[in-house]
Amino acid sequence: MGQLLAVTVNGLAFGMLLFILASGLTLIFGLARYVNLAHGGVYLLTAYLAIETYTRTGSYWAAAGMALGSAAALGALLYALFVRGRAWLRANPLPQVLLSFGIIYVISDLMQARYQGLAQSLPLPDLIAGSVTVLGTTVTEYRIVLVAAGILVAIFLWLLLSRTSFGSAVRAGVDDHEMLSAVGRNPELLFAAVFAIGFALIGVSGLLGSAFIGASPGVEYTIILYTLPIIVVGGMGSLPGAFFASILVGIGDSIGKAYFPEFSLFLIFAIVVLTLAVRPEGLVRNA
Amino acid sequence: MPRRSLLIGVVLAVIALVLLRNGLSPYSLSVWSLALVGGGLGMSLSLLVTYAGLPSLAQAAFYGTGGYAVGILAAKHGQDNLWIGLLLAALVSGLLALVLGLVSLRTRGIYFQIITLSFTAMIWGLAVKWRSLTGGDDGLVGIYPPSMAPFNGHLVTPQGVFTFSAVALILICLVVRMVRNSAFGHVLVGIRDSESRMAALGYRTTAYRLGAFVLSGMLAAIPGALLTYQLQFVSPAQLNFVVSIQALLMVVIGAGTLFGPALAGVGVIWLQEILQRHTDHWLLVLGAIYIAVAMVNPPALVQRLRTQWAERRTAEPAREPDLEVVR
Amino acid sequence: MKESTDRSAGPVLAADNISVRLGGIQILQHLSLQVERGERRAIVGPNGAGKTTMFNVLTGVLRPQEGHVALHGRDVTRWGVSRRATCGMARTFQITNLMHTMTVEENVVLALAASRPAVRRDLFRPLRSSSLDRPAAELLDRWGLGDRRHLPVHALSYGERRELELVLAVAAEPDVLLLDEPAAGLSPSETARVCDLVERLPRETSIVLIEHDLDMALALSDTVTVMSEGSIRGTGSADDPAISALVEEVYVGAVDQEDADVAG
Repeated sequence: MGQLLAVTVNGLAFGMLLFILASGLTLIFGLARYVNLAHGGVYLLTAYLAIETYTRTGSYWAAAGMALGSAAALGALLYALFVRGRAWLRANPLPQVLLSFGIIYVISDLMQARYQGLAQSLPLPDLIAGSVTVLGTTVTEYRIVLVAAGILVAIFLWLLLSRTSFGSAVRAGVDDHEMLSAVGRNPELLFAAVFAIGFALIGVSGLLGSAFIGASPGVEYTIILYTLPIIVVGGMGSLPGAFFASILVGIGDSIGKAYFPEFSLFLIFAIVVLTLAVRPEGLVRNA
Repeated sequence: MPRRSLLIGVVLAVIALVLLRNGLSPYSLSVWSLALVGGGLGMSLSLLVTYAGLPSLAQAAFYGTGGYAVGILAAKHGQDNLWIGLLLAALVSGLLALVLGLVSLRTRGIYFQIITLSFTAMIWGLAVKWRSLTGGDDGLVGIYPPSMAPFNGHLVTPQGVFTFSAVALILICLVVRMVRNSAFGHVLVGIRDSESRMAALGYRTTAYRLGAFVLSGMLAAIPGALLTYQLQFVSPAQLNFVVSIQALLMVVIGAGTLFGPALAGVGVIWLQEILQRHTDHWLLVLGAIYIAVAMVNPPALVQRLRTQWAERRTAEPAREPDLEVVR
Repeated sequence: MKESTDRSAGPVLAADNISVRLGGIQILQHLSLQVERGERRAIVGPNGAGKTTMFNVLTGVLRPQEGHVALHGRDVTRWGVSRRATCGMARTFQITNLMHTMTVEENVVLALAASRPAVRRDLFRPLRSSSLDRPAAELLDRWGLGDRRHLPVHALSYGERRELELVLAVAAEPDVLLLDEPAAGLSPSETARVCDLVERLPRETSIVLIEHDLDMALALSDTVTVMSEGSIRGTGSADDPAISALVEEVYVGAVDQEDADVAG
């Protein structure tokens, strides 16, 4: 029982990390209809840079700044190069996929060159490096931090989207693209803001993840493998869907690895395929 | 492509291939054989992407399944006949495509892409974990050159492998052309243009799409099997989703032309080979190429050129395309 | 390929107690409709009355929460679009819906091939050898698009495309033809052309049309069904003054409601 709880908490923590990452994707897709499969590469970049910054400066704040800053910069760069004024790209799924993977390959190569394929991880500050006992099981403090972070991000996004005029413009834009211009909001400005927030969220996940799953070659692809089920099961533009699907995938993966190591990955994707077989739009309808 | 041009093209191709076969080193021939297999992969996907309008990312699943089919049969059951191997590879892939198609063809557009990508990942995960069947991450070795009975010999010499791969590619190209020109192909293109209209005319659109999906899967198994025979090895790398993306690159570079994806496939494999020999940063260059191809978007470019050329030919005043709903 | 149809007396197309609810809004409520063989029926009503939704239920695009649709007396409620099409139902679309990368002729050939089982058996033979070129050309000539045969669809004018919509729908000689705003966006002369085409259709073909152009609707139809707010307000002969009055009432009523909404 104790082990099950530990495994579940581990999965929950991983799920929250995935959610933070997936929420960025969901925002960007929901509004800009832009499928960014390069997020794995962005995660890897921010994770490596956060670790390197900490190693050089000894400061977590600097590492955090670097993670968010690099994510935002990358987001701005990608936006300026590939999204702004290129509505044709948004309507064309084929080039989008090629573009995403091109970006991943570029990042992958640069990371390989700089870090020689070494796996790295961010050491935890003493404050949260310990363990606590919950319900008779030992759980590392950092996992609790991750869970809390995920919930905070969820609350932040919920407030942003439902309580601010920015949020209502985003939601209106998600529902109806043409309406955006009609209502007088500048769509491109809105897209840029959403891109910034979306990438910032990926940066946050890179920072937090660097101390959890670390940074190593191949992670940029593994991340994609994990976010696919979340996107599919949660529905592509839905934040609540992404939240629940992330938890499902995280816990499923953790339990799978602990008890059915032979088939964990297959199981996750089998769930994906079954979900889509039954409900082609995903589990949570994007109301 | 009218029949006379096709005939000339095939003759020229054959001449070129004979020259290559006799003039190149074994190393070059082996790279060419890999490249010809790449061409086959690209052509198999073009059936789905260009003619059926289905942006499938599952091609690696069928390509790799073809490879594993012959690999498992050879390494675990001693099945060493080339023709039986190819036939079984196509059948297994076709069956897989049937199952995947039934599930995924209910979705459209980006969802379809994601589900086909997920499916590829699933099959890859299966290959990695099911060690007893597939050898897991290490893959399968001991896949010896197959016998070509009832013909003499084995598929083993560089020249022989090259010739066979070339013939296979030409046949795949001809099959795709035949499908394109057939009633089935026309219906597919009609469904691509407007599924709702075709359904309203009485066509069972899902059945046609499923047929295209299965056909494409079966075609992909052939180059997949050939790759395994060439390398005498099969591993999950053949099933990795990056192979699906690579196939997509070939189709997009092929720009919507009939044989473009074959040429693009050959070119992409050759390019990768040359890049890997000359620089450590081959992945960076490759990534830049993907980005460049995406931004240029050859199919749209060629479409624009074709429209302009057609307008000039018919000497009709070009009508302003009306604003239509962009899907 | 047409399934054998039961041509007994009785409505060729019938909707019985149809209710449709979408996104929390009741779009159609307990709607019933019957179209006899050879009847020309116009469905009129202001925007939002549910006319297109009704069409979508009749053609199989939408499945109703309640009610049944019958074609030639057979319950087709569970049938998909293509199956109904093989049973003698055809439609045009409000937004022109053609195979836009193909030529006019190729569009028509596809329309004809759908109803020719012999062609579908030759699935992998080249389409040209199926001898549909001549019937396609004849059909196009008959409907006045003959000289446009080899043009790609995107080279046609808007009016010509709407005509092609119609030609595709009649190619299979349907028993029931549903026209969704055939004159939408057309100039008066183009509209007259479409009216002319519709009037030339065989008398046994039942026609149901949605049209905002009331003059056109009344001129082309025998009977008119007036809809508003998801239900049928009345059905009657096209030249019945009571119907004209009803039409005016629902349209003006709709305008008043809009004004109230805006002001309110």
